[in-house]
Amino acid sequence: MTKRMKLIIRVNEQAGSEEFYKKSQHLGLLAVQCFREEQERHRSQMTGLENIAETTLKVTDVLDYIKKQTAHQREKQGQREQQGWKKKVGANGELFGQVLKEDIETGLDSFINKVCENFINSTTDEGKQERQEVHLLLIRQLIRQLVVRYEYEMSLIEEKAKR
Amino acid sequence: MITEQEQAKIRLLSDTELYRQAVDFMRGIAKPIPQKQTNGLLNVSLANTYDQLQKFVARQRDRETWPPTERHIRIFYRELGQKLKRMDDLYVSSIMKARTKPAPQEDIQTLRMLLAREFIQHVLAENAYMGAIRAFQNVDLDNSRNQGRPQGNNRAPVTRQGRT
Repeated sequence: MTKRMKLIIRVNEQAGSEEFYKKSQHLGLLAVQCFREEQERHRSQMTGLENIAETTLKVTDVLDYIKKQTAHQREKQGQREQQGWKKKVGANGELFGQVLKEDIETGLDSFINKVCENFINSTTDEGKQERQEVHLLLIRQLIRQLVVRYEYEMSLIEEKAKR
Repeated sequence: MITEQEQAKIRLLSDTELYRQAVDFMRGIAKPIPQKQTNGLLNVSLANTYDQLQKFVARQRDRETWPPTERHIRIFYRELGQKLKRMDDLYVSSIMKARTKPAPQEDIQTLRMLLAREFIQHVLAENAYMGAIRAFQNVDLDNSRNQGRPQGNNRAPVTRQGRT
């Protein structure tokens, strides 16, 4: 088995762990709180997030995207309560972007360390690049799981509204 | 031409060093830069050469017509110019060290521009984010200041300071 295959298996093991799943499900539920009122635009936020995570080769492209989305979303006229990226949803009233950014910046460290432990030498240039790839693969898994939970919850909400 | 190996090094540098440095850089400026300025800088960094970027930064730094409320923009450009210079000194030769022949000037300029773009991209994202978080915190502060005030129907609009 090649080193790359082993790396993918190790990443998948971490992404399938209970702790990782809890994290992604929590983020999915926060996303529902943020975007459920956005009507036709709500899915485009998740698609945008997935697209950037799936196509980039840098972790910081995802972080920059989250920062820009948090900053740029326009408020609807006459809307009393903030919605979308500007809605407070975290345990301490943080924005969705703040929680997600934090999770990507530092919240995945323990999972990255577990993947790299006795497998990647993070002191060499090559090892550092492999570690970067592990981080990126875990972000993709986190966002995929987050979006699936989001879609599931939204379908339940839509189903309820039809009845 | 920049090799694939060099591009991978730039990406790694961007993730492991430039991002954190850009966040610290904006925190050092402490005040967000207006959007018309950030748009200008973004356009120059995306469409121009490294020399043109340096000239743009120097011109903005030396401008004498900044109004008092925008003096921090001048500081921003002064610091940015110095930062680009430091990035040159620190990273360019180490990224190109695997080359067996001396790198042509054209490649060095391209590499400088790629590094500058990475840094500027992070700076502009942090700038926008910093502005949004600040505005969000100000709304919270206003709401807490306004708590307990009379809720009459004919109140004038509340200003940011919570006064009518």
